[in-house]
Amino acid sequence: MDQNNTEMKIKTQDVEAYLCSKYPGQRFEVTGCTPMAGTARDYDEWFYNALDADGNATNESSFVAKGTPDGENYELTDDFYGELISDEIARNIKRATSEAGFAAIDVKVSFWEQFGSDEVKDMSALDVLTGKINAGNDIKVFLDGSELKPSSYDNVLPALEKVFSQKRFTGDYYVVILKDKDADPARERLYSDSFTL
Amino acid sequence: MNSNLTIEEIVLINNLLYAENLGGPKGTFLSPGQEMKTIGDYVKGTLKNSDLIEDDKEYSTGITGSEYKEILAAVNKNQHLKDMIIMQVHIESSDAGGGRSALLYDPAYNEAIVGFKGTEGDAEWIDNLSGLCRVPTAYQQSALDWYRSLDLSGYDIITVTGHSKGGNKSKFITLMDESVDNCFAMDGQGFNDEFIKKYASNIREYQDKILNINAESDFVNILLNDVGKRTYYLGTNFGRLGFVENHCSNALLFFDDQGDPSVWKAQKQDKRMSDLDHMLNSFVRSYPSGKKEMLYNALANIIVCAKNNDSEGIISSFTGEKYSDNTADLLAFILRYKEEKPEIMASLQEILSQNGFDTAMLGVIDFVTNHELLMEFVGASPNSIIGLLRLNNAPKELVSFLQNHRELFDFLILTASKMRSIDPTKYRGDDMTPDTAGGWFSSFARRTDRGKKVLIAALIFLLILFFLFLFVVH
Repeated sequence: MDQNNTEMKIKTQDVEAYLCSKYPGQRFEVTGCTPMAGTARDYDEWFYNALDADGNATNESSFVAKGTPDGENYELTDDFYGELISDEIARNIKRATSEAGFAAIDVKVSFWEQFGSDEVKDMSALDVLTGKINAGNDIKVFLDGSELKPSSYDNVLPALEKVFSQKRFTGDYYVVILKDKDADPARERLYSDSFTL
Repeated sequence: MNSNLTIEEIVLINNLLYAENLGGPKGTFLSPGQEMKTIGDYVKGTLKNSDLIEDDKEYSTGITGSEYKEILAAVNKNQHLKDMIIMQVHIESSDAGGGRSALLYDPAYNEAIVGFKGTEGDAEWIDNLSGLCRVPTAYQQSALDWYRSLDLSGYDIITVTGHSKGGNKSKFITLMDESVDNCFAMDGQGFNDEFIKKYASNIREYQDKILNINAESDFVNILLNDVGKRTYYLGTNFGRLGFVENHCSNALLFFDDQGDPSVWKAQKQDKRMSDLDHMLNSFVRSYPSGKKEMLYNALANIIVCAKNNDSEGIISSFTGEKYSDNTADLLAFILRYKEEKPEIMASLQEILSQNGFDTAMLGVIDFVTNHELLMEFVGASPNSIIGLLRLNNAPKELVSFLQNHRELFDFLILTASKMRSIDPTKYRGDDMTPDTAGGWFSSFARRTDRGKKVLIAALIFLLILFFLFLFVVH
């Protein structure tokens, strides 16, 4: 452990340098690591926070980067890119939902894939949304049910699927119809289902 | 307790908390991407990739793909679980980071279920051991801080649960925050004596909210002093990891032909585990508080080295200057304890043989280690011992290992010298409760049988001398 501590310190600095060079203008702090040894994983997990100008963490839950030994190299991947493109993707989804005739109260966007430093150069939100870059899009769309008749709930998904496909969107889509625009997204659900594009 | 969860459902939820990379990243339950989905959505999405889940691959410690498929199929048949919503997933960002937890919502009964995953990595193992001497540990505190950051105001029932370290965090939160209605701790370790004394009133007030769900042969729930009601369940033995499997989160689950899960109550805790529990408690109580920090560093070092398959690191924990004093203390205590309570040797022998170790030599080791002088002789004669092993056709690996690690012989001498000053029955090994805190545990509790024997022998000797004196005078 004592020797590992030194090795860990070196790698902590490497991970911070990797993140800072990949996302210029952002500041990061690596808080810990779960090495793969003794776990069922084939990669190390690095926990890190994004910092604001005062050095305070901007996130409550930690971000996780993965480190995989590859011969003499150590390959790092992360999903922080999601923080930079998810707002734009959410706007695109809201617009498309509106075109399909529904009001999206909220859209939550996440991604299942992690990328290394070379894979996200010039990554655009649209490239990710349309699957040019396969990021494993996972998108939840919350709709206002006060404007819908219960008998029409089953028609919502096909309508959204049609518009999203025309726009070549890809990913998993979870559609949740809430009681009204102020409804609690967990307690006041009227309907939910999913489709994959 | 007013939770609407069955024990089977609690065990299934705790298994989901460990589910990771089943058929790809979407198969990770505790991932921010699952937030606002139902457990049913998660299971549906994961089972979509069930072809990619390898049956024989271990996806979390001790649980294979085929076992996870059984667990997912069982959840998929349980509408109550499927309707629960994954409200929030949390990955600890403070300190060394990594601990994972989730807030689930049961819409059927407006119940919040806050679940904590077990030990994540090295940092949490170190934190587990710091529980020997710290009140509270950093990770217990950060779990409580996160719990208190949740908006739980709209729920009718609040339940916390977790397996292993997750169970310990759940118990800690229940004792520290009155908002908790129910705590289901699976195989979770307890708390040190200082904790029991410091929080005696909290324990008295809230312990009825805690139900410990332990596998009868689990070896983690025995650590330190437990709090709350204890129940024991039969554990399945899949025969892959041997004894270690008793601590796997799915050990309690039995599946019938239809894939329906059930748990079965055991009559009581496995005696081997209660013996070990007593031994460990006695040791921790006997250890000087000023040395506990170093002891926990030494144990943490051993565990982390073991996890990393670093055998040199383990040996240096025993023989190196930094920790040898503490590890020799521990070993000396165990050896003296087994002299006083030989039944512990039978328990250890059973545990080792269940793990595939050849226990044929154990009798010899038992004999040698019952005699400090013999141990010192062995320690002082590395060449003779190695020669003797060669003559008796001992495995070449063992001989060459000892040749390369002659420092182990010095360690043996150090251990033997410490054995003389140890009285392993000086402190009792029962779990401390708020009612016994400050009583017989904390002081020179009772005279030992050995002490009594010495005292009686001395008295008899004095009486004989006295009568001899009278006889001579007469």
